[in-house]
This record gives sequence, C-alpha cells and structure tokens, in this order.
Amino acid sequence: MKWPTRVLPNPRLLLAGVLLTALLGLVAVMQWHQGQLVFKVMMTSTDFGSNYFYQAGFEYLRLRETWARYRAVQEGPDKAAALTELRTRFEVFASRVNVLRESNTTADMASEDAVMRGAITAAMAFVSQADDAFAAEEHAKSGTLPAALYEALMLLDQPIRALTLGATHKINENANARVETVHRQNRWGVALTLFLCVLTALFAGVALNQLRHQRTRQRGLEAMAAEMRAAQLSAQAASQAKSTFLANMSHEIRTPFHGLLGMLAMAEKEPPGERLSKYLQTARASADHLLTLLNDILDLSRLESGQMHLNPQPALMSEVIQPVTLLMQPLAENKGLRFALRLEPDVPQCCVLDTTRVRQVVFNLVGNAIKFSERGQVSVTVGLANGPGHGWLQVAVSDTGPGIAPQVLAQLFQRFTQGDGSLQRKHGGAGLGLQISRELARLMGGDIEARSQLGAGSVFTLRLPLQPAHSAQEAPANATALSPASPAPTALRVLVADDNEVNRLYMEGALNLLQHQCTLVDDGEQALQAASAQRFDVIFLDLHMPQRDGFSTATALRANLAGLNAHTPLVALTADVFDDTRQRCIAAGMNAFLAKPASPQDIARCLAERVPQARAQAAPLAQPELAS
Amino acid sequence: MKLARRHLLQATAMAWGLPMLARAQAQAAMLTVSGPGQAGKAFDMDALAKMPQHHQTNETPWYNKARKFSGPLLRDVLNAAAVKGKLIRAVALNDYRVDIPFEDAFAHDVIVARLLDDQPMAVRDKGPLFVMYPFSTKPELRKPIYFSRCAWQLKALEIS
Repeated sequence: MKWPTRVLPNPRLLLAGVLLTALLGLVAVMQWHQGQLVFKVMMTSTDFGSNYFYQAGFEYLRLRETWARYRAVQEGPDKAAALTELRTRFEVFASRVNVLRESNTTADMASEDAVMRGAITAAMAFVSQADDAFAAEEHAKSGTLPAALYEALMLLDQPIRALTLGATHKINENANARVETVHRQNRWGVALTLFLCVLTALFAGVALNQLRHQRTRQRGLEAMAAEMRAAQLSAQAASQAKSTFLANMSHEIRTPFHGLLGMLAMAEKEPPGERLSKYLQTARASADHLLTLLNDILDLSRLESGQMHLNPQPALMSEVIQPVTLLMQPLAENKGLRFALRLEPDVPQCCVLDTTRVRQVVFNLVGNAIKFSERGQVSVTVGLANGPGHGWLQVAVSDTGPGIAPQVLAQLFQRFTQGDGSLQRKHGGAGLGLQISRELARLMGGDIEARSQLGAGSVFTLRLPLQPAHSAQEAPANATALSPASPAPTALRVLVADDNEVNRLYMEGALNLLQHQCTLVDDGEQALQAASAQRFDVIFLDLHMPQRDGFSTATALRANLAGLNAHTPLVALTADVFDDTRQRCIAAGMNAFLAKPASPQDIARCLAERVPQARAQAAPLAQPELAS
Repeated sequence: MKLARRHLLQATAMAWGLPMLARAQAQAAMLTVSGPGQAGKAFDMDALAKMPQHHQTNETPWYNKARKFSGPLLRDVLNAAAVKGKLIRAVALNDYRVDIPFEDAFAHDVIVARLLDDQPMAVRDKGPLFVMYPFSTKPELRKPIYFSRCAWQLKALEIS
C-alpha cells in the first residue's frame, strides 16, 4: 500500500499553534513592558540623587569649618592662605548648590517638597550674597568679608538639614515604592505563568486529541488493509476452490455421461429384447446419477448464495422417516448389510420441519453409511436429546464401516472430501453430500456431528431444534392429497410453448403418455394466438424464447381479463431453477414452476397439483422423488 | 528663571572679577597623574589643550539638558604620563574619590573634559576637569556605576 508522502497539517492544530504562538508573543511583549517598568523603578536616581543632597550638606559643614578657621586666623600671610582655602571651599559648595538646582534627579526629588525647594532657594541666595561680597570693592581692598555673611551661612544650617532629611525620606519612600512595584510585578509574573500553563495545557490537550484521532485513523487504515489482504487471500482461496471444484465436477459429470452415451450407442444397434432393456436401464441410471449431481451443485450454489429457503410445515414423524426404510433397506440388503430403523417412543408424533430437506440429509447420511460399509449393519435411531433452552430432535446413523481417522474427520464436511484417497476410486460421488447436509442442518438451526474410530465404524448425528406441532389438525393436508379418493382421470387440453424442438417432442411424448391432448407452439406470440383461439386446462411456458419470452407471455395472458385463458394455470418450464427466477415467474402471473429435466412423473405431479382433474392420474404414476 | 538669570550674572562676574585666580589656576598644575614606582606627570591646562581633542554631547544626571563636553582622551593622558596599572583612582577638589578600572580608558572613549559647551569650567560648574564617559554613543553605560566614575572638579589620577 502506498501512503501519501506529504501530510497536510491539520487545520485545527495549525490554528491552535498560531494562536498559542501569538499569545506567547503577546506575553513576551507584556513581560518586556513589565521589565521596563521594573527597570525604571529600580533605576530611579533617587539613591544617586540623594547623594548630592548629602554631599551638599557635607560641603556646607566644611565651608562653615573653613570659615570659622578663617575668622580665627590673625591678619597676615596665614590669613591670605585661609582666604584662598575659604574661596575654594565656597566654590565647591557653590558647585554643590548648582548641582541641586541643575540636576534632573535632584530637581525631581525636591519638586514635590516645598521645604526642600525653599532650602535650595535659601542656599542659592546665600551663594549670591557671598558672590556679591567677594566681588565688593571693600573685599578687594582689605580682603575682609562682612560679618553678616557668616551669620547668613550659620542660618543656612536649618535648610541644609532639611535637605538631607528630605533626601532620606525620599529614599525610604522610593524603597517602599520599589518593593510594592516588585511585588506587583511578581504577582503579574505569577499570573502570566499560570496563564501560560493553562494555554500549554490546552494546546497539549488539542495536540493529544489530534494524536488520538490520527492513531484511530491509522488503526482504521491498518485494519482496512488487513481486511483487504484477508479478502484478497479469501478471494484467491475461493478462486482456487472453484477451479478445483470445476475440475472435479467435470470429471464427475463425464463419468455418468460416458455410461449414458455408451449405453445409448449400444442400444441403437441392439434389436428389441432383454439386452436392449438392460442397456436402456443402465443409460437411465447414468442419467439419473447425472441429475443428482447437478441437483447437488444447485443446492450447494443456493446454500452459498443464501438463496436456499426452507419450508417448515407440521409433518408426521412416521411419514418423514418411512421412505428411508423403503428406499434404503433394499440398497443395504443388496450389499449384504443389515438395516435397522428405530423411532423412539418419546419423539412427538407430529413436528414442524421441512420434510424434503430433513429427508435429503438423512438419505445422504444413510447412503454414505451403506456406501462405505462392506459388512455388518447400518442402523438409524430417531430420538430426543436435551439442549440449552429447547430439546433436540436427533437422528443418529451408525455403521460398521472402516471408520475415519481423526485428521480426516476434522475436514470431513468440506467439499470433495472423502474419507480416504484410496477409497475415492472405489466409492464414486462428487463429495458434495456431507457439505450440503451440514449446511442444510445449520440452516435449519441444527448441526451434524461425526464420531468415528478407525476400524470401529462411524456415527453421524443430525440434530435439529425440536418443534412439536400441537395438534393433529396441523398435520399436512398433502399427506392425504394423493389419496385414492381423487376424481376419475380426465384428458386435459395442454398448450406447450417451447422454442427447442427436442423439448417440444419430449413434452408431446410425455403428455401423450399421460393421455392428455397436446398443442405445441414455437414461441410466446404463437402461444398467445393459440390461447386466443381455444381454452386450455393448463399452459406450459418455456421462459427463454425468441419474439416473446415466457414472462411476457404470462403477463399478456393475465392482462387480457376477457381472454379465454385469463385464469388458466400457467407452468414455467425452464432449466433456470434459481429462486429469484421463481419469484419473477410468480410476479408475471404464473402458478407453478417445472424444472428441466422433468420426468413424466414430475409432469404428472405438477399437473395433479395445479389441475384438480389430473390428480387421479398422478397417483399411480407418482413415485418417491428420490427413487433414483 | 530668576535663579538662572542670577546664576548667569554670577558666572559673568566671576569670569570678569576673578581673572587673577582663573589665570593662576590655568598656569598651575591642573592635573597630576601618578603611579606606584612611576614618575608620573603633572599637566597644566595648555598641555591638556594641546593633546588631540574629543567632543561628546551627553545627557547626564547633573544637568537638565544635553551638554557638550570637550577634552583629551583619558588613555592619551595616561599614555602621556607613561603610567600603567589596574586601577585609576580619580581624586576631586572636594576630596571625592572613585576607582576607575584601567581598561575603561581603553574600552571606551573616556575623556578628561576641560570645556563645557566650549567654555572653560569654573569650579562651581564642576571644573576645571570632568571625567566623562561617552553616554550618548554607548547608552549601555548609562548606569549608576559609570555615572559615579565621572569625577568632576578632578585634580589627580592615582594609578595603582
């Protein structure tokens, strides 16, 4: 199997992925933004700026100290040096005041605090006042400074103190603000992380779900592939089986044909007499065997295609079983075998079952038992057995044959299986019997079991669900249908439409044998003409004819309500014996169905069923259907 | 506004009223550079002005707008003094001291600014010398540690 090489991504998964990526991107942007905020708060220059206030305070104190020393020094060279020192300290102090005024950071810190602003203004006023004093003519001349200036310097003490205290308070406030910001950031961070967790979980859920779907699909595909392989194998096996079947069947069919044609060839040259009769009997036996074979194939085909339909009716058990003894006992005795049939007393008198099919199975089992046994006896026991929910009707057929090896027993019910390859030549047969029997048994809700031991004979047991019929009135009406109390024989007017000349000749001969008047036509059109001219008691229609086929003819006859034969029984005559053909016949208005090849007995029985006047004739001619 | 105007008056008065002092400062050794076991060198303003000059226009915490700083590169000064070491201790008139890693002078274009907006700096304007990092061309330097290394009223560099 070739798998697609390129797998398109699932649109839902793709969408989820894109969404998740977008959200993650958004989260990253938010985090960056938050980081910036934190950075801003952390980078606040309060600490840095506060330093300038402290420095200003420090320089103020140094200035005061220098100034005091200058005042204390006596006039002279020391005084000049002290003045230079004082000037330097004053300039440094002035630079400090300038920083407080000019710097953004210090301006920010002082902007909200009136006391701090006032203090800076006071310091600047002092610097201005001192500058004026230094620039004054008096100072230039004498180098002296006004005493008031020193007073002013001393008065600056309080404002400078206010500045350093204010800076300290600002630091504390900012530290507090930072802590709060960091807390807030932290909370945001935790919230974001939780959000991401949920997102990831959701995405994982979607992905897992997808994965599961894919696995399911894959398993489905694998299962399908396995089924296909199995189907292919089974088809090959079936084809092989069909080939084997055909090969076997052609051999099986050839054999009776050989007998039939050989006997007929000899009969042609033989003058009438006992030998001719013997040849014809052998030819007839071969033909019957051929027919059985074809019927088997047909049954199997119906079983396999599910077209086999049962017809369960209440039936007297004694009547179901009776023909077995009638037909099988002579066969057994011919081979020197004893034959015993026992109907247990606890078996209900009347049961619901498909008599024909049950008989078919029992005939097959008993036939096999007789076929494979060389001496001893074949016994049939009809009894009851307990089963789950309901009882079983049980027919056990035991023989004293060679027995069956366990490995052979296992495949006994398969097509063309005979107990032993070496026996196959000895015992003719298509090998379909057991398979058909088991499938029929299963169709009826039961089964067939085989028990055997090499050298100790075999027991084949047919089991069917027991369905006792409640009263005698359910007993089949056709049990008495062929009673001798039927009306006297009457010659019937019969129309036969068939395009095949041999079939027409045969039907003419058979009907003449049955002492009926026969009209023969070639096709449907001629049949309609004949039917419009004369009333018939029964009309046989071949289904496949040129011009107008059997279905169309039947439809036309039934449609013409005023016609002479609008209600005449119509019998389909065909080699096509499938159930759906039967259904079509009924739908076309036909009443019965006669499968080719039909023996004179078959024709008589058919006429007896459909035309009351014919029943008396049927009785003497009717023989058990499995006489062959 | 009033304050600014008064300051301007002061500056003018000083530049005009104290020519002697300013001249004396200009002539005297403005910057001494010394190292352990090394001769070192003293620079006056002229010597610094004769070295290749560099300009930076930086926003700093000390001014409320961008100012132009001009002066020789710190590494040129160090090379001129032929000193080497690991740390440069910058000492200011106000006895401010700060340690600058020696490699800073080579990793960044640190200058010893002697002009502010093309004018000599008075002591009250943080003169006469001001160590300045290139904050405008290297924003990553805008951190307290680098601001603290910008010593103003610089008078000495002690190498160790």
